[in-house]
Amino acid sequence: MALVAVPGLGIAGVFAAQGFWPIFPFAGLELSALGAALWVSLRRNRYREVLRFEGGQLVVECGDLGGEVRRVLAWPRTWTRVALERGRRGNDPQRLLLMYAGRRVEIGRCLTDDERAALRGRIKELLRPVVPEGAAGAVGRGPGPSTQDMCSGE
Amino acid sequence: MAHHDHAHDDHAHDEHHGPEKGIMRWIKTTNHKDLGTLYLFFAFTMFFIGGLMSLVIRAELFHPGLQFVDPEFFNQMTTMHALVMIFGGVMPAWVGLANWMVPMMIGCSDLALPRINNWGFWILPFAFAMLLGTLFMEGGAPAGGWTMYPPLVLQTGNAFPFLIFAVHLMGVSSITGAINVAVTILNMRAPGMSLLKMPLFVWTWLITAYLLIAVMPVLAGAVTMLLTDKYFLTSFFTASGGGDPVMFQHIFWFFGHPEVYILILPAFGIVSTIIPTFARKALFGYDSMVYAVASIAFLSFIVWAHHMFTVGMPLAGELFFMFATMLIAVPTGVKVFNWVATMWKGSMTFESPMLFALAFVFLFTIGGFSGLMLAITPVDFQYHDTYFVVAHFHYVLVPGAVFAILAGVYYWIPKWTGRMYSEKWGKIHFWLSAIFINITFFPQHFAGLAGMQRRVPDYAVQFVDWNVWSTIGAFGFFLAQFIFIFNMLACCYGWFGRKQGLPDRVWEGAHGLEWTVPSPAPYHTFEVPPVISDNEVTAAHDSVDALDKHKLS
Ligand code: HEM
Ligand SMILES: [Cu+2]
Repeated sequence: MALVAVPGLGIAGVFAAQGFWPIFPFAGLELSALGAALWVSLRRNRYREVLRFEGGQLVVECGDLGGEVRRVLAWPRTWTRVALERGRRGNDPQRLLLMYAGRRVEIGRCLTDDERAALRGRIKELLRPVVPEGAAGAVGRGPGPSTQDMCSGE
Repeated sequence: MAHHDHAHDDHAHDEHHGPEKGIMRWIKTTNHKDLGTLYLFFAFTMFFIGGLMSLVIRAELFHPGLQFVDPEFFNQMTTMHALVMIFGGVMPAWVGLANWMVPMMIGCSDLALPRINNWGFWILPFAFAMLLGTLFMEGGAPAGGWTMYPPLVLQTGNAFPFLIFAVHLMGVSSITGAINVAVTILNMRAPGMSLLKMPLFVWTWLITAYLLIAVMPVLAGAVTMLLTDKYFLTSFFTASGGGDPVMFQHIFWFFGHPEVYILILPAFGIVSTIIPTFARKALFGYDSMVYAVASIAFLSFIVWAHHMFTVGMPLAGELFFMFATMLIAVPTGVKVFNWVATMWKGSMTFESPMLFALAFVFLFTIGGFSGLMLAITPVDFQYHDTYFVVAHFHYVLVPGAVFAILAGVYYWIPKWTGRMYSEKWGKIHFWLSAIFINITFFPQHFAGLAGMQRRVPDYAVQFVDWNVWSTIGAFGFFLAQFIFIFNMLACCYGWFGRKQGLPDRVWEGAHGLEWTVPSPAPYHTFEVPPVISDNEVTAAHDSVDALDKHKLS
């Protein structure tokens, strides 16, 4: 960013000093657009949703790496259901939903349809009342996307 | 360029979500492949319109005297031809190729900002509708030259504000494209795709984007000052109000010279991709290619006044800009050397993309040499504003930039559409293009050396032979391009039973991630980042070989 901003504003500054100031606002506008674009893209790269299966509970948290963590829900594990729905219109991506007591929360928005289907399978396994040995607790170690960096590598 | 195959794709994996149907697909699309296709169709439409304008110019210049158009309209044609070709043809073609290829080359699923991408494209039809609309206005289209020098340009009629606004819109479109490509390359490379493993097309585009971001505000500011000078009583460039018209030239060329490199750097990238494929050897001197492009980009900021040797500068200025300009020949020479060295002892074959790439190396170099001649200040005093300059920039732009675009389309169209073009017609197209382009522009060197001025519809009878050749060549070149258009459309739409069922790696010597996905490339590629551990990427680079050898010894 400095690599562009310094020459960009420098050039504009030199011309402005000569009295040709209208270059300056354009340079400013453009560099802000570039900054915003980089910021948005870097932030998208850092966004994570984490599912944890803690004892009897399913906890979902989301947030940016290194940023504040927001707890989305903490629901009883056995009562929670997971489902895959079609998008609202023809070509919209599918929606992966967690449901409990009439509430619905969408997760995994930045995955592809294939990945969402795989994730649904894994969550289903982990929501089952009888949990296979070893899969409880910290699930991240198991195979498949369970404790998920769902949006990394976007 | 690939309607049908997408429909295909839908059937293949039912739940994989494909494009929307009908026209709304193209209006709303945020898919990098769709937008790449749109950009390319737009660019070739503009090449066609700009080509028609050039034929008006060449028809008028077939003989001395005034035959077909009046001088005012002639000047509108030269001005509009340049604007349409540069901002409507070459620039969008590069953005289109970047749209298609950059994500596939670095292994990510789309550009970083897909909606901005859509917006950046759809600005263009409006900008050019507005620009072309000025042809029908009171006072006609802009006629003061694409360089828009005041005070002449301030005499433009009603078209003037539309010209300025159109230039702003083209600028916005270029900027959104540049920001998008740069952010994508910086943030979205697949794991393992380090900067010095990136294909050269990606590298050259990154540096192009950098140049665009650096200089577009300068153009925007310059044309805004023209606007305020005309309508709001400022006097940035009007001498009567204490302004300085020569400063416009400085500002314009501070943008303009980097801009001409913006037009050529991606071509370097394409040629550096194609030659290794058909020479079946790794590119010679990958690292030096990257550094050469970077130094050309740097130098392009400090040579602008070579366009202004004759306006009067202090001697020190004339000398500085002369030497700085000549310096550019050094990194350019490195690149030409590397291309030739890549072919040295290679097992070469001469398919259409390779033919165009080879013609590029040869003919672009001719343009580089005439550039060197123009860079010599005292010599430029004679050549400036003659047909010698016209010959120079057409050699670097047509057999340079445009041939590279054609080469790129030939090279990747099997990947885009899943159908092979006709090699026979490709070769016919190549030879006709190569011959006619030289018939068009080589004589212009001689006309210019003998003193024929540019941007004038009439000329002294002594130049008539050169001009007759030029005009014949121009019409021939224009007509030959339809072979290409039909050949490519046949791939898009499956006419003439084009060969299908191509392997992923369409060219046996090709390397790079784009050749690891099916042909045609599915609507979505690399949604899961590929792992760059194999020799796919590195196979195209000699530097990695060299490293390994080091380790062994
Ligand atoms: C070795 C590299 C090059 C050198 C030394 C060089 C030098 C020059 C010089 C000195 C002029 C001004 C001539 C005059 O107006 O009297 C000129 C004009 C021009 N050059 Fe180059 N050039 C080089 C490469 C390129 C490239 C790569 C492009 C574009 C792809 C290009 C495009 C142009 C254009 C469009 C003009 C004319 C602008 C106008 O007046 O309308 N040049 N060049
Ligand atoms: Cu220049």
